[in-house]
Amino acid sequence: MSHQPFETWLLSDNSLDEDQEAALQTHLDACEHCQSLSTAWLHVQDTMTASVSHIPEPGFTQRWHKRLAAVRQQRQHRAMWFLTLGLFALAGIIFLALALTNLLSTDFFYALSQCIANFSLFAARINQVWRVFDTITAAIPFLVPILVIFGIGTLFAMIVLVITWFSSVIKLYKPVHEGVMDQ
Amino acid sequence: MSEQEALWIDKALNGDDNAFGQLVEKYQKPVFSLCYRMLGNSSDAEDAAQESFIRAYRFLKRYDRDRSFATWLLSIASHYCIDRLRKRKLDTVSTDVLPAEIIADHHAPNPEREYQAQEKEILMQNLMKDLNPTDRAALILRYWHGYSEVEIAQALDLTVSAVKSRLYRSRQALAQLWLASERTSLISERRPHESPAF
Repeated sequence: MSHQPFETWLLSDNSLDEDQEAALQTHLDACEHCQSLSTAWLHVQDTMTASVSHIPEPGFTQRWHKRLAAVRQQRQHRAMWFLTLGLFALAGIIFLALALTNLLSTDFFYALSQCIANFSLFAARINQVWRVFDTITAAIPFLVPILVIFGIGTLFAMIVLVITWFSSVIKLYKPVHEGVMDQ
Repeated sequence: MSEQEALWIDKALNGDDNAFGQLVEKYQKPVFSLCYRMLGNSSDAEDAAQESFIRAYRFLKRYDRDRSFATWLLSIASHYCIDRLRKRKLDTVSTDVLPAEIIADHHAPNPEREYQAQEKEILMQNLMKDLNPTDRAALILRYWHGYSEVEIAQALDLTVSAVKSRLYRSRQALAQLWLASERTSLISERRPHESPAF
């Protein structure tokens, strides 16, 4: 037995005219398949209308404001990272461009010999300074502990500066979730 | 759209968070309800509803004032839930959620009725979980939000004939699933009285 167009009529939103209604009723009296389909769809409709409505927990808007603040902070944080990476990339590109230009515009072996000569000159200067320092400390022995203390102090100050710089950078890039979420 | 709503939208477009907050306050229930019916549990629905409002605020400039603001919001929420369901490919109703949600509220005026309503709700969610996400969204907008086929087509970026065919397919699937679930419950009811096979 063909179930069309009765199945379509049963499940359609469109209203039927009198003739269609009568034809459908005659078919339903004879067809068990369409009858069970009709009953099932009526049950489904009944269940849909009887099911509970869902509402959010109180404070939805406040939670939305907090989420908005967190999302903004996250976006800002991401933008800062992109800016930093962009600046590094730009610096890298400039450095590479300059290096390439320099490499192409000068003779490589001449530049290498110049570099070695400069290094030798620098070593000779260090040697001279060391000799002068050695002569002074030999003449005035009490200067040694003062210079040692000064050297250690300078080293310690440099370490502190490096730590402070790193912690500042970390703090700057760390997202402040706590203040936003727990308000 | 009311004058008040238009004013809130204007203010929100100028960066007034509180003005958009008023719109959130007004439309939280329909958006949450849609997300709940799409995703099947409160925590996912809350997250999806919040995210839908965030997206709506972000893309408020794209809102066409000739259309209903509610339809535009529900369109964003529907698309978000459809994407989420496609990504997860998980069942709508988590089995962890079911037992807690079927417990009747004894403080309700009629706990028996409340229980039956919740039972029907879970039955409905179980029937709907096998539907395609877009079909499910169309069905929810039609039967729980009272949208016309034209409004559904606008909300889901579909043609009216596509909406009609999706709705027809969904109704057919739900009726078949209902029949199948009835058959299963009949079998499980008979089994305890059956004589053992050996």
